[in-house]
Amino acid sequence: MAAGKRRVGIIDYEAGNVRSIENALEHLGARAERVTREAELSEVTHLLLPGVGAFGHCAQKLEATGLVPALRHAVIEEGTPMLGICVGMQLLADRSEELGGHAGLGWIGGTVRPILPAPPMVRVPHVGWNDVRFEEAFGDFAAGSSADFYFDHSFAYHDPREGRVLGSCEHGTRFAAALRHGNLVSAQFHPEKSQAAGLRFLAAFLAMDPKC
Amino acid sequence: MLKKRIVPKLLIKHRQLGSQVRPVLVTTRGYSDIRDVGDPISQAKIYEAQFADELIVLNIDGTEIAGDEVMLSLIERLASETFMPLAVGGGVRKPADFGVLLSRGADKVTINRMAVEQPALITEAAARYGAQCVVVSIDYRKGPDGRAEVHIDHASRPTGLDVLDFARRVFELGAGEILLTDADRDGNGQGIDIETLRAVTDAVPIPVIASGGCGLSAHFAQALADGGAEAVAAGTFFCFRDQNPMQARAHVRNAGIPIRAEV
Amino acid sequence: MKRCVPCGLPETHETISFDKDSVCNICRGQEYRNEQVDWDAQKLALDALIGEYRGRYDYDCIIPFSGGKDSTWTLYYLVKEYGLKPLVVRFDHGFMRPNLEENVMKTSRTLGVDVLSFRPNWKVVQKLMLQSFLEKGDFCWHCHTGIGSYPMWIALEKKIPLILWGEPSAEYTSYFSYENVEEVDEKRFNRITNLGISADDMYVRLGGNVDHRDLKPYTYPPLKELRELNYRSVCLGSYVKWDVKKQSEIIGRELGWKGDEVENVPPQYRYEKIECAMQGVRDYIKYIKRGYSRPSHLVAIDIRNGRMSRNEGQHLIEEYEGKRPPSLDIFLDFIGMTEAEFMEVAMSHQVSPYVHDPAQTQPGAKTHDFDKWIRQGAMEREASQEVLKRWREQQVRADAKQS
Repeated sequence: MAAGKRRVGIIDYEAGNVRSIENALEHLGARAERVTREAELSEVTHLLLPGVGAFGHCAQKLEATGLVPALRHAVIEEGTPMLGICVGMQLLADRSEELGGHAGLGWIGGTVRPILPAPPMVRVPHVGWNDVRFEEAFGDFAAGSSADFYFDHSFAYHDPREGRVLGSCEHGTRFAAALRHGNLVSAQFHPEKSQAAGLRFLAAFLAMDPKC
Repeated sequence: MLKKRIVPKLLIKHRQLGSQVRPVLVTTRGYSDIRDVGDPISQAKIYEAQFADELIVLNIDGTEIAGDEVMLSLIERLASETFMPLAVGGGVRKPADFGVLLSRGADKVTINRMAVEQPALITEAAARYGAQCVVVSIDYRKGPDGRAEVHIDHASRPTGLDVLDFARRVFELGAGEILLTDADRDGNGQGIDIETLRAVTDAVPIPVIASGGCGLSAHFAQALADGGAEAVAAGTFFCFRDQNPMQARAHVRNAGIPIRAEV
Repeated sequence: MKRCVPCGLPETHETISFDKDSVCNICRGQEYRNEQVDWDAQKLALDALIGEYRGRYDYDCIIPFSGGKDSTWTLYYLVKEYGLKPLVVRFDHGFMRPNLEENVMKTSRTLGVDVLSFRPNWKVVQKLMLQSFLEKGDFCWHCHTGIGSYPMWIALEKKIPLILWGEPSAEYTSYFSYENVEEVDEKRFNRITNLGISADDMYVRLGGNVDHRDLKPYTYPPLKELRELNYRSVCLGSYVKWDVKKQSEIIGRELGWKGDEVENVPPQYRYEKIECAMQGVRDYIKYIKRGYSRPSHLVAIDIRNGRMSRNEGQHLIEEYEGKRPPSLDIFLDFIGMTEAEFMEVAMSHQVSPYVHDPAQTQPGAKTHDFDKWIRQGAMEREASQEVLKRWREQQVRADAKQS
């Protein structure tokens, strides 16, 4: 299916910048729409969960939209491809240890833990461009290939569920930079800020088959 | 492995052009000597084409940025027309301002004066938006005794605070990154003050972006290798020399420093 | 200075980097070009590309053209190989040499093509030359941006979506690589063509000292309009392997194209950079900034093509490189500067770690047509001094005293 037919619903829960994502998706020929109501969920071919900020704050905001049950239905039951980015990725974990600990949606599972600083080489937050090694093929990223993406975070998936690691990255220790579980994909880095490599990653997401 | 970053710094002033007020890109020297150099959107696209790793956009007109529609529209356009990480600042006054800037397209927010006058802002912003969004911009000048003293208000007002003590304090309060600028070297091409930079990078476990004085591409390599900086920000350097970010990157790479490969 | 072991280019060459064997990325790029690119497949891709556009518009394509070896061969190849009906578009920078004009006449008559030429306002050009020389140590901003933009405006105006350029930049620098077809689009314009200054930025830097409309030929057209035209702007050299020596021989034989003497270039390179009377000055400035210039560049190409050893090359470089060109006097008039002022500006743009020693400079020889070059249009000292004064107040220098 041509990318032009993709309609990506971006969950707008006031937790971060949606503009760049819209820009990137449109650049790739998809249509980007902000989703704030349940009814809109069924009109899209793909879903995207962004997220910038503290986990607790984001989780609260997401809960407050009331969309979570409908989202679960669209994603888990109907199989709509969904991409979680940065905190959006972390929200799909079982739990995060940020600021006292919070439960996640658990749709991809695993635990999010703080990245441990080891200065001078390992500083936290992990900010900047780092190479992600693809454990499996994704779009035109071959299994075993690497590319640099932009990261900006202090917490990461240190024990993802087995078989779900799409890409890993090293900062002090190796952590899961991208996960995949069927139609669910998530990325700790910001593909919409990662220039050419990021666009390729988003293109790979758009190429995933939408629910029929 | 995490790469080092080259970050163009865009200083913005408001200019009346015809019937409109438009944001204009300027350079400064010693935080004064303002020179208009171009259109910020056009420059951002050029930097993007040249593989700049991220951009810092600073409002130097003293307006409160969260209410400044000219600046907010600029940020929105930058986020809509480029695919680059954006750190934005200049006139941030309260925690909610972070939310406004992030929602308009910023990825990180820098604070300068407020870090000194209302340090609790750092902690509040980090708690709500995450430390990774909070960049504390520390400007300093060296006194006759060689001590580096924190200055605010476009580096015009001394605070009596020692740079090292202050850097440690902002880290403890929850800052994610420090943008360290030697105000005396701003725009003078003399090179980064490696001594102070090193002292700061040794003192805190958070990333430090070095700024102030790049005149040769060798200065970038020095700041990254000898100074321990994670990134170097430059404003004037890219505007007045036949040296673009790609050339600076090649130089850094040739010095054996890890930097993002061009695709 | 660190240098590439095989080809000799120094670390001050734009975008150069060296691998663990001290081989530069340009050499590696050439290896890739010679060993990895499937040129047969690329030729088929070119057939397909041309097939998409030919016959559907008033012209099959636009060929931006200077009359030098690369654009002449590009034109020749596309007309002979494909029988295309191109619109040849020339951006006349005002420094064309007599032999070059003759070449253009012979070429266009032999091949039978329409030629559209545009010569911009000299007074505007002077301001642009001075400003870009001061700010970027490169006075050719108007040329780079004009050659890059003007054909695109013609494409829009005359509705000719296919624009075919000549050699890819990947031949000489690493801004782009041979791994992809080199798209000559706005991104490329911003990356390597405009010296980091768009026309909008130049307007600001000139302090609004020109009519905004005067900058249109140097402005890249809006992407939206180009997309609506379904434009495609690519390098022929991404589809057909470039070989300047072979190509120059062909156009010499088939079109009567003649090479020329060029200031401070070894005589065996008669095909090189014959189209611009200011090339000697341009090259001299490059030497002051980077410690190498055209002779090194030409030798490096010959070394990579197995036509010369580094030793042989070294002799040529020592004999011809870095000399003061006679054309400098003409250039100084054009921008209203003295030689001392010129040196002050050029020296301020040195690229580390090169340090230039003006005391070492020898005078270079005149070309045979030097006296025929147009000297009309000197800039008034008053005007240039004003601009120079502003620049001096603002300049960034590594050795400046702290204020």
